[in-house]
Amino acid sequence: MAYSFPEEVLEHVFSFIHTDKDRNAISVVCKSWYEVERWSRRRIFIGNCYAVSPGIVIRRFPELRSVALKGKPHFADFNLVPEGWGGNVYPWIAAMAMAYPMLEELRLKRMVVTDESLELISRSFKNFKVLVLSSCEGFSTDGLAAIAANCRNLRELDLRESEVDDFSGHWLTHFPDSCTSLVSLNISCLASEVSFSALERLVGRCPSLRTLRLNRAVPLDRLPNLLRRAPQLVELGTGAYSAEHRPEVFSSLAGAFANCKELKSLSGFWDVVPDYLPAVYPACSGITSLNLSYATIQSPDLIKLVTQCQNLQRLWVLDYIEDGGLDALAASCKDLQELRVFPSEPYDMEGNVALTEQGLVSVSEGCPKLHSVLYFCRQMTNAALVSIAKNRPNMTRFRLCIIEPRTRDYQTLEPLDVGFGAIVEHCKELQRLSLSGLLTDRVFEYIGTHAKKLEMLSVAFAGDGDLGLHHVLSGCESLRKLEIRDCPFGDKALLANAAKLETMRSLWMSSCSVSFGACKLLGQKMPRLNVEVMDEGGRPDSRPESCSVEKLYIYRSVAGPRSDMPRFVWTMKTLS
Amino acid sequence: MERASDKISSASSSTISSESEKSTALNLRETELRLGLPGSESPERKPQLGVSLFGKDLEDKTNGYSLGSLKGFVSGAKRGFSDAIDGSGKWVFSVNGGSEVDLGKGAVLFSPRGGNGVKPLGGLDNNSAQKSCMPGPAMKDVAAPSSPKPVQEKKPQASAANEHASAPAAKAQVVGWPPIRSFRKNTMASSAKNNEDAEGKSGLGCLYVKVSMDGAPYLRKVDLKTYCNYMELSSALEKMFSCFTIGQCGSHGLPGRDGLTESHLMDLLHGSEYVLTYEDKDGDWMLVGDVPWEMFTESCKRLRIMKGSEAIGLGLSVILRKEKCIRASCLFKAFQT
Repeated sequence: MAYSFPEEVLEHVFSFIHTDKDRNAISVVCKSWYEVERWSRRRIFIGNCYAVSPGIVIRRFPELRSVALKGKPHFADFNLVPEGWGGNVYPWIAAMAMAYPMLEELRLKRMVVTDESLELISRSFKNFKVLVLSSCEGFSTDGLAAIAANCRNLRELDLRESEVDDFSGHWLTHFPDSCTSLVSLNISCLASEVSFSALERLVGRCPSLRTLRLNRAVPLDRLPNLLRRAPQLVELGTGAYSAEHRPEVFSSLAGAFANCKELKSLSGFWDVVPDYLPAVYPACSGITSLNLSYATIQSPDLIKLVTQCQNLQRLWVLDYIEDGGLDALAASCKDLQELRVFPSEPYDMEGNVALTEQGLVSVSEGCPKLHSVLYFCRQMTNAALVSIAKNRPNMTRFRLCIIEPRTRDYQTLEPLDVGFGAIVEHCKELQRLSLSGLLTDRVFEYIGTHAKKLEMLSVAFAGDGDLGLHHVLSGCESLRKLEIRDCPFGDKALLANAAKLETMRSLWMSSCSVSFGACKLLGQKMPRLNVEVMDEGGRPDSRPESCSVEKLYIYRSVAGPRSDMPRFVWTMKTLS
Repeated sequence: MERASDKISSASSSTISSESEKSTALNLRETELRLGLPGSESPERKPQLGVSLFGKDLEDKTNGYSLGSLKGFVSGAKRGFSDAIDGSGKWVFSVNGGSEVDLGKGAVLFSPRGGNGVKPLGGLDNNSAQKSCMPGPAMKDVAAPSSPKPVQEKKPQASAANEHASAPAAKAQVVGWPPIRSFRKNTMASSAKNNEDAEGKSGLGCLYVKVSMDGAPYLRKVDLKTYCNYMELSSALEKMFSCFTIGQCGSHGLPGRDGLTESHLMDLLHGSEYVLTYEDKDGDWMLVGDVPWEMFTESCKRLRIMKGSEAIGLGLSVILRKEKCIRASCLFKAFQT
């Protein structure tokens, strides 16, 4: 070519390209595009903080404004990853404090965030706007105070489901009177009472506030005042939703809800007293997202509320809703896209509610847009799964948890292979799947054959042997994350599909039958994989190589083995 | 959680009685009920059952004496005892070796889930169980052989303790299964606790207790506040679990103070297939009908429709109690003066 586009033009064009996938694609077209792209990238998502180092990121992308990082493996949510495993964000903050003084957004998931990190954030980034800490831990309200006090342009502070050392609610008063920029505040995971007057004043002086998720400690009679100061709210999480029944409190609350004409999302509802639920009815017609997953109310009250929300797109609810409630949902909420049903008594041996596979079948029949499901129940049949699959070929996320491991089809007493097979066969766009119930290698054969778009698979107490794992690793072309626990999968499938592992983000296997010897071999053969063995019983090489390892976490990385492994994590490098 | 620590296994009830002996100079040992098989190690419940039944004895026979303070005495004794043993690692629920079998046998008398063997009655305090194994091994024997191996939770105690406190199920709890986030587990557990605390408070308008029936697939919840007496409760439950009968209680009517007379009780035990029992605030299982209705609603935490054959242990205790009532009331009068 005699000439090419001036860089400025390329840059301008690239400014319209936003998604990571597209950005990654244009960056490999040619060297000059690579250069222009890397200088113009403002936003990055790193799905595994150990896949790359801060240094590498900073070297390649010198002008980032928004960084998203994920730390621990997903099974850490269920206490399968011991304390101290890693995922500490401090090294990243320290490096970025030097490299990105203009950093605006930080979104962290399953990472360890210390107060030191929060303080460093609050001091280092003058234009810091967004802090989202999702399922994080390691910090206290002292760190939050630093953020509140120093981040003068703070727009979002979202602590969703993080574990916070909650010393007191005093930190909220550290927001200066000059702070008027808040758009989103989510403190629902905090236990302590915040100063209500400070909260009211904060809410009152932030005219752009769209999202307010309160914590349980905010009593119901405080809610009307807050709502009156923020009638523009789009997303509200209530505090405790109970009070003695007093007509003046009720009418004040109902009036406040009626005044919030933009409300689209409701959550909270701890300790619900059904008498107060009608107060939200005025807002129901606009509601698209309803999280009642902490609301311990019975089916009739749930039905009354849910059937008011004709425009509902997302519902999270406890299994108190029962099959009858799901029937009503299916009849009323034709726009429903996502349903999550959580168990009210997950550890009871017997069921406590009349929620069965039938409820899910009803919703799959009645809601044509339903594509995302998380369902905890105690019984299932292949026939029901086949129905669901045929009803909803548009399903993209299907997570079924039959509470008792290895439960059979209760009508035919067969495994549920055929049912899940139907799901993967009919739902050609399926991206995420979680299995449960009694499953043989057959289900993995179906998955390997049909689930070509599947990106994440969760398996527990399933399969007969290595063939099952082999089907998945060799057949699922789009697989990025595979997590397996308590399955009889061993060395053969893993070693035979070693190359596949470099195309995935990560593989987790715990309580399976992978030997230490196989892990060693894999670590030696595949330098771009970090093969981490977790064993709290001591050095794995102190036992015969044929012994199974407790936990195995394999992930691709360009940064080599990490330097912050605790005593119970070994890689093949540390053992040689 | 206090309930769990109260349930820490004790080697014998004699320590309780000796404590209370010291404080009241009453010979309570005679009236204590020991319901284990001779020579078996006392499962955690028994001494407490003995002590609290005694407490209830006194309440029964002494109209007008406030149960509150007496129960306080009894509970105080219990709590003192458990405080005394809290420190040492010895008093944990799951004991090693052969005594697991005893535990199983003892538990059958109390647990309506006889077929399931050991049931951690009243929940476990996982804090104290850190050093010992969970009841996994015992469970494994009775549960399906393919049960996953129980593993001690290493995570902070709060969630584990909450798990146990909220779920006296007989299955070994597998780490991380069902897959529910700690945040949700903790929130639901403290929800349950708040509901329990809230029950009985006026103004909140409901007093939901769970009702289970041996052999039925679902538990139900009933709001005790919607009933005024045992008869109403009985007929409601009858409708709910239609093969259930509370025996002669409904048809004979109830004597003046809403209690079952001894003859009714005997009819009940011998005649009907099922018996209605409840777990009181101390975690003890009682036959429904012993105490005035209001007292019942205040102390009832859950209901269980138990097979008559399995309730014989309880029935026996009631009969024994009735016999001892006379003696107890004499002792009690001595205590009063």
